[in-house]
Amino acid sequence: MMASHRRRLNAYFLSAPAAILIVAFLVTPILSTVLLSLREYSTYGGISDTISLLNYRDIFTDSYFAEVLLRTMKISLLVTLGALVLGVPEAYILYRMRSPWRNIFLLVVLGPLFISVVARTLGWALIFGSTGLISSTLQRFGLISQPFDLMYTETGVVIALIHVLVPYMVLSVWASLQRLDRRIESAAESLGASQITIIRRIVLPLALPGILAGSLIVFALAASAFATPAILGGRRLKVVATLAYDEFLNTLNWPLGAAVAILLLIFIAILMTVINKWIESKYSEVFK
Amino acid sequence: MTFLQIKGLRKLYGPHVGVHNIDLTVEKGEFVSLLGPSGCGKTTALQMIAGFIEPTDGDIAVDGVSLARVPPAKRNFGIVFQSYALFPHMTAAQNVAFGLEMRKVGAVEIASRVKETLSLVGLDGLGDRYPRRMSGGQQQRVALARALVVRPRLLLLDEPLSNLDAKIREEMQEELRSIQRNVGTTTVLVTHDQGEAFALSDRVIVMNKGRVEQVGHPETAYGNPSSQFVQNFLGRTNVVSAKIIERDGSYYAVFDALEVRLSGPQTTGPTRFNVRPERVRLSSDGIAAEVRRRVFQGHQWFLQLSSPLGQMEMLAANDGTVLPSVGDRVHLSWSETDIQKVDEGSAGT
Amino acid sequence: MSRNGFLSLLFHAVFIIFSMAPIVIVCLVAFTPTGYLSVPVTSFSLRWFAALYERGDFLGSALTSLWLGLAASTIALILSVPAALAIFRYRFYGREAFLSLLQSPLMIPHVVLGIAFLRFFSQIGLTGTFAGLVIAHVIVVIPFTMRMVLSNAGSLDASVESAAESLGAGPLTTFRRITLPMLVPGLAAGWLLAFITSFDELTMTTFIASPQTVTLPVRMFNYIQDNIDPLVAAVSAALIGVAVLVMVILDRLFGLDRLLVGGEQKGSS
Ligand SMILES: Nc1ncnc2c1ncn2[C@@H]1O[C@H](COP(=O)(O)OP(=O)(O)O)[C@@H](O)[C@H]1O
Ligand SMILES: [Mg+2]
Repeated sequence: MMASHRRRLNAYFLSAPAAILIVAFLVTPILSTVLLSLREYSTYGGISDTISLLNYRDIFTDSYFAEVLLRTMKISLLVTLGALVLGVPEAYILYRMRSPWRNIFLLVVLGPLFISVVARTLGWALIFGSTGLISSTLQRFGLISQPFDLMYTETGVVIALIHVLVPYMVLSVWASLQRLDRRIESAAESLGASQITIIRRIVLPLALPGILAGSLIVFALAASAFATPAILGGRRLKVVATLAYDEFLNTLNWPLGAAVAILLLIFIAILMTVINKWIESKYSEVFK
Repeated sequence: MTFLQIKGLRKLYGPHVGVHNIDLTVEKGEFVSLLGPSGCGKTTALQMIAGFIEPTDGDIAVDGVSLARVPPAKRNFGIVFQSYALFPHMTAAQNVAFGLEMRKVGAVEIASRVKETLSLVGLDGLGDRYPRRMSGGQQQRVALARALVVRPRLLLLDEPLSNLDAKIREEMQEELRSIQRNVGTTTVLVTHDQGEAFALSDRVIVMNKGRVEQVGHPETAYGNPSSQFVQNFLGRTNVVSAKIIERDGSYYAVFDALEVRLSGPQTTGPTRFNVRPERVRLSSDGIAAEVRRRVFQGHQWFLQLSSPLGQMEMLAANDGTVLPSVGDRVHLSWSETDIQKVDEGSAGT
Repeated sequence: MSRNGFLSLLFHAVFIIFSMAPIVIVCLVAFTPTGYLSVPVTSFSLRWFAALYERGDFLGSALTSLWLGLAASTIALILSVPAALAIFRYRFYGREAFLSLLQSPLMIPHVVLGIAFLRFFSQIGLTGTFAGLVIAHVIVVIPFTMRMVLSNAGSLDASVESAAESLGAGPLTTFRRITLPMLVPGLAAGWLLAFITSFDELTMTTFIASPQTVTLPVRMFNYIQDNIDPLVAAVSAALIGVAVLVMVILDRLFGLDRLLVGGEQKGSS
């Protein structure tokens, strides 16, 4: 009909500006980067016009890249684990709090999301450094004789990243707990279930989709983290993101840096779409 | 004088039928109700009249002029939505004034008409309140005032009272009726509540599954339903089997031990009748029955009885007569004006 | 429902300490009177804030970040309102794809965005320009404004607009007088969320900022690479102050948990 035709035109007219922006300034740059990653680079000749998969072959065969890749995976897994151990119980504790406290602490727990990652990482640098809080406290109580330094260690990076990312875990679990009817717990309790049983049989299964989604987000953000590993890891502890940065801005090997970036993008995209879809399809029937 | 004329109105949602060939005429100043169960197409029909839904087929005309090419903004109808749809960021008075502003009415006149209309709906002095600070009944009144202030040609009401408490609903029914009488605006009401439709309207249009089942005065529809659906929808009923016989030139319906004389010639043989519970009487002879259940409902008693005709329901006024108690044996009877032959064609519903 | 037990509260206390520790330390160090880092801090001074003011470079970067955040979040909002209304109101070909495309910047690592923009801007001659920065930041924050407008439009009662129309208002008047005012709280929250996201963005911006357009996070990052001292802690403390302010406003405007948790519901339930 005429009206429905007009409505469709309306829809395209309204979405055109945003659509044009996204295509021109997101899709095109990404495609251009994919093309760049297929070019070859030499120190003297610069970027050549030939198209090949040479950069990707280099990444997969060079032991230096393998080391960085493995380290990134290891850090991301540890961070996800830490966020799980801290974030899941905390979300449940928040969920069980009463009215004023619940909102206050939700603000305290989620608030750091609004604070610059640089500022938060700086805090850990101040705590970790050889003149920092941990070291001076331990020294004062005579627990260690040498100044103690977590700067430029994987442990330091992992702790700080857990701090930066754990709010996402709390948020995700909290969101799934919101769908849990409080009366279900009371009902289970009235049927004689113990606290442990209630958590194991009722709360955990219902929170599971949130826990999985939270783990996915934390893992993806840890794997692509830049600021925290750059500040606390320094030049010695490269991860994928800082490696790409180096190739681009220090070595000036743009095609190689582009290849690293594209690999990271593909990895994250698979994680966020394929696995996310799988989780959703597996648990969607719980939340009808 | 025909004011609103609807011809062959139809709406398809894909293959699904929302509204099926409605034909209807409404006189000027009349109050009619579209009455039917949820999902029968009342809202769809009303929205087509308002112009928010485009009919698949058919035509709507007011004063003989087709509305097909007239957008909702130009129809000059007043509409009250089930959710009230008040503008939350405007006060009651601003809500009411909105339609007048759109019509470029001068500020002085707007002020006086808003005041007048707010007082018509009983909201004197509440013009400065925001909707969220008003009760459901008050919001309802604002919505009505907003629709009436523009002096619409036609007032369309979609379940306007269904969000209100029972008591306020009854008050509002009365008020709505008297306001409509005063103002004289032709009104189409959509409701699923037959009590509301009966109390308010000059005529009811009973709908089922997108079709019009019956159009008529409330008493006619209730007492003389044209189909089993209407019979059931408009109130509880007993369906009892009988045999029609002829004796000495007269016809009788035989219900077990009760014989009811019928006027006029009839087809003899087995058939079924509807008897409304309030038309079943206790008497000294007739159908033998036993009281199974007795429920007090304030102004009346509800009795459930077992009889050779099957389970029966009846209502007895709480007027001081002594009623049988559970287990008592009684006799039931009724006369010709109390019964209604079952329309076997649509008995399925 | 039972209360949290002792162990739960202990865990909670540890969690809160962990979550607050670096933030509190930064604020303490920012007010230290000594020229070097020392914890614990025993006395307070504003010396480092004064030093910041005298240096001027951090202040200049703060201004760059401010303008950038204002421009990016405003443009993102202006683009999001019609796009979100189209997505919410109409079923059109490519609707799903359009929606996920607008949300996709959330999933792309910012390093990748930085590299892609650096490459692309050098191809089209936007390298190092403020305009380039604004465009890149609009891309990064548009998922936030989109989501807020969409979740707000979702709570709009469509019959309110029908009511306006039936009272004689045309589509433009209905939008201006009815739809827009009803959307305002959500729009304000979305704008603020976009602003703080842009204001804090570091990773992508390091790639595309020129010496003339260094934003505050980038300047802090570069500074920290060389030295960690109370000066940069003072900048961080100021940033924390801004974040707290934004948080309080957002909480008032919208409810923080609703803002962060409630963005997902698309259809009706
Ligand atoms: N937009 C729509 N798309 C598809 N089906 C619809 C739509 N609106 C209503 N319907 C269907 O049309 C029928 C009539 O709906 P409606 O007019 O809202 O009924 P009522 O107001 O009597 O409850 C229902 O079966 C409903 O499911
Ligand atoms: Mg309806």
